[in-house]
Amino acid sequence: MDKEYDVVFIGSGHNGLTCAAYLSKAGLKTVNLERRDVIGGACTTEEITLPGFKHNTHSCYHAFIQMGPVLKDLEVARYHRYVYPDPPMASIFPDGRTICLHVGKDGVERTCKTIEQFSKKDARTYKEIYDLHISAKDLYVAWMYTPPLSPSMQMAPFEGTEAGREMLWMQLSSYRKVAEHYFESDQMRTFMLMVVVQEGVGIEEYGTGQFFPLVITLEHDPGMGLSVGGSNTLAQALGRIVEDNGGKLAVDSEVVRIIVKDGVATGVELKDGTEIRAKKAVVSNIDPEGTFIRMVGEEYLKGDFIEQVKRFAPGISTVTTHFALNNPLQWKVAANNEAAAKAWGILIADNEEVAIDHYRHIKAGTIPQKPEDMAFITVMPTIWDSTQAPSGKHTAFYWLHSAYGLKDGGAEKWDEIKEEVADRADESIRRYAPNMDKNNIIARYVDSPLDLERRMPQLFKGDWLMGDITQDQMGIFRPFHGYPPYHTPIENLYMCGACTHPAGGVTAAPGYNAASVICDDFKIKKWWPPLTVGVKK
Amino acid sequence: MEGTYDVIIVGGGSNGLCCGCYLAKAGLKVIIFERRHIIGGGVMTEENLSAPGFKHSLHSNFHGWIHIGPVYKDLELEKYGSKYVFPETPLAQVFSDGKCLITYTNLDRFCKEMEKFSVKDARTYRDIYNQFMSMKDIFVGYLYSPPVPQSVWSAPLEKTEFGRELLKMQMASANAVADDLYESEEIKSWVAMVTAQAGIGPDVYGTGLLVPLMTTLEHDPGWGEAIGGSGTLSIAMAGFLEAHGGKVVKNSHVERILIKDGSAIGVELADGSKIMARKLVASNVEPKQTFLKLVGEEHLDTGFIRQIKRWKYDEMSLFSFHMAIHEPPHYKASKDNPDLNKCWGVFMGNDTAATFDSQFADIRQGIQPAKDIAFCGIVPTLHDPSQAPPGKHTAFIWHYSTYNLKGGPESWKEIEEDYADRVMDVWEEFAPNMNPKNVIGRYMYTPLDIHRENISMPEGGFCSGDMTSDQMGVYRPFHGYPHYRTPIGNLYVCGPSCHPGGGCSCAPGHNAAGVIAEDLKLKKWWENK
Repeated sequence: MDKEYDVVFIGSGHNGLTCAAYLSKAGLKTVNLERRDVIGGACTTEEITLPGFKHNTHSCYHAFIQMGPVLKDLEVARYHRYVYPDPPMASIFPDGRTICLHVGKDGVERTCKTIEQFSKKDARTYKEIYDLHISAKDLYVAWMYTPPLSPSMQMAPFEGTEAGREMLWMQLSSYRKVAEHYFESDQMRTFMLMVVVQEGVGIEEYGTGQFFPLVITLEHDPGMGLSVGGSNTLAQALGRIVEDNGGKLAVDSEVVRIIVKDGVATGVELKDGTEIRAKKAVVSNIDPEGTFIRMVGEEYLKGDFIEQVKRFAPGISTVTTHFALNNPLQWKVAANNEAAAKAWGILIADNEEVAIDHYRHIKAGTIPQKPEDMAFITVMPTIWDSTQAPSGKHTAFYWLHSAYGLKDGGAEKWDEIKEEVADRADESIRRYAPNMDKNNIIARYVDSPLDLERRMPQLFKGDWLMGDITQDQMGIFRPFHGYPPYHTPIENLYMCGACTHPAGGVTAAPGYNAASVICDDFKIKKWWPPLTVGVKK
Repeated sequence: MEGTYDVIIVGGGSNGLCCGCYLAKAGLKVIIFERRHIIGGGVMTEENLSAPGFKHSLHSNFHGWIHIGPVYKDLELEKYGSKYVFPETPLAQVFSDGKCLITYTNLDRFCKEMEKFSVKDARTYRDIYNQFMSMKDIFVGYLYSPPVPQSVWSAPLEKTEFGRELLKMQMASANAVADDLYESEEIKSWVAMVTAQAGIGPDVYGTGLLVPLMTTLEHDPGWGEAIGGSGTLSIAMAGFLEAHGGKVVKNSHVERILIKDGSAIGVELADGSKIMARKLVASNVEPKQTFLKLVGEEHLDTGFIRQIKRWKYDEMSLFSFHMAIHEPPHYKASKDNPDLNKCWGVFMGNDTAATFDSQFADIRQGIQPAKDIAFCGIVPTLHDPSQAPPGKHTAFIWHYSTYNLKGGPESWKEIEEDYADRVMDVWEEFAPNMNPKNVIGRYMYTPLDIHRENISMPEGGFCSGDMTSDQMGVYRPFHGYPHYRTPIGNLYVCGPSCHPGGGCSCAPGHNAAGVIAEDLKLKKWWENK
């Protein structure tokens, strides 16, 4: 490996790779230094149950990246393929009825058909909100793929009109309150809550209501992309693009220190003592605490800034349980709705109260004690991508959102209780899919919040979004204020990970935006077309 | 009540009175109709409830904003009989390890007290206080003017480091802000208690700005107690009103606001009599009743009705009971600081903010906490003996609670006495003489009672509507009309369901009077003095 590059990346998550792909194609010599033996950050696919069974241990569906410019700009499809399940998600209820989120042609109408079973009014309202907000879809996308605006600039255009003020009202309100304002049926509210919590959004916190119209408008077209072969194939594709442009990927290369001279980042030091020099920039794909407290060192930073870094708070975490299965799960709801039983993700929450209480448990650091009190998503990737298991076999997993630190026993307690918690969730699934049983399960692997953090320390406290997405940690406040977005108090040190605007999830937006500001700073011509979505023509 | 008036105000709460006073002095003929037998809404005092000769202010008890804003001086309320005492030791918190934290109105003395828990926290507190005080005028100006859109409010703050910190605080929860600022659990718990006084849970996102905002009330001059009880403030306002030709009529329930051609022209009382307003009607009542009952849906469009229907009442209420007692509490923790026994109100039962959080979690589930009972025990007569017969005292409990008990609000009647006994057990633990022998009489006042007695405090909420971020500023209580105006011509709103919300600030009434004066092209006599 060379000892000198224009740009040195700490980490090779999909944002670091995206940023490197843009910059290497712009003519810069880049290297992504990866601590693990595989690139991809949270786009991981690992055979953790049995050989041949591929499990996406973190990211498992990619929704927002489909709408942004990155896949097109980088021509990712040369090396990579997505499939789009229909329906991507369905809520199932004890009486056998379902609400399906449909995508593609007539996706909204078909979704509304399933809502009608519970309330004609709710189905009508859903369509109305879709029609009202779909015209703003480009604006939301532009918001993601542009550095954040200050709150006043963001709000001012909305304040002058009735519809704009209603949008701001939602933003100030809580998702649950907005959902309850618009929908009357318990099942519809349950469905709306369960869809949004999969994005890591709180439901009762004020400042989350703006996600309500987003869920309705953004999820139908094209829907959730499943990376064929597993999530890591996206990272591998981005990695190939970086290499095509002459960029370097170095695995097993853990950065322990960012070298700062006279307030300027000049390179990094690896665990084995090797120093890699950065002629232009060091770009961190990891979390703020890791970047500044561990790698830069407090002696180079001001007290106020250190406080900002330390207070950046994690969101909730999740228990992920992976299965190697003989047969796909046979959902009883198939009797009513075959499509629902084939949904990529089945949302289990018997009613709104269960959905809400589950998240209150998380806040309180507790776990629901009864199987029927758990609210979670169960996913069957191999129905839509058979390459993720040996021929004829299947995988499944569920995300049971949970607290990292438990009220009783802290995070350490997870090692002791995770199997038992998973047993309880299995039991809950069996109520709806009886073949979640010994005969069908070949192997099971339970990943607790603590395990998640052990594998990916940058996902601090097991938060897969690298920082809670509450309103005080978004926009110009993500992850700290006082510096232009993606910049830091250390000159030539940049941030490009999920802890920056617009936050976690596979959007590639932080990496895209960071590449743009780095080009601006170094007066490098941007080879990619300007963002066309959301720009008034 | 013969004849017509320029202005009819529905409801004689402190804001209705305040609005009426400003308009009366501006030359309008004002009449205020109050449903109850007593004026003042939440700013009232009644005698003989617990025992003969004892006075109790059932709602609002200690007043901050009214002395910081312009109203008290503008209306020359001292001239009309209002008088305040500002205790040097208004509030304190006791902890189960025998320590206490007394909120001295003197900043230096308070910081010294804080140092018992953390020297660093005391420094931080002083720092924030000083920085915030440099912006105090901006905040007071914000409260005593119609609300501006958030972008207008944010833009200047975005330019400075401290300004951005304030914006971030505004979006965060008070607990999160306290967590960031302070290290001592006791001080975090104290912050939670202090901010909750604004009427909203400190764990709710959008409450964080209360952390610096509420501290400005603690010092210079600090919390004031109305001599003779809170009601004397309302009586003084009524005095001002009458001196300027206005009138307050008690026991007069307004049934309808009369509308003609989309404009308010008067009101109809419960006895059927109709009173006409030459210029306008202003409602001090919360929006659901003002528009859905008094105005009627037939006069309103559906978009507006939807806004009104989604208005949420306060998530929390207060469980309280008022007592006549022989002697004030002697706290065990006064060994830690003897001034404790002179404190007007003492918080107890919440050693950490987490205890308080679990209490709020219980409230939201509709249950009264089984353990970790936390509340404030208050003795008004320590600094104003006139509220009890010579040598005796009054006391009451301020305990965050809910109207919506799991068993229904009616079940308050079943549990109130038992729960009050349990609260008293806790008080006795901290102050052994607060035992049954010390109690002469007790008057229960639960969320159900508040709801029944005060139509503008539905579900026992004392802010006339939840103070969450989606119900503040231009959204309080609805958007789409210049503030304090409504879709009905000549109908205004002036109560705590308008900006800036609940509490004894009289700001909604003051601000409503301002916009009315502008609409009627009256000279604002209170400006440019």
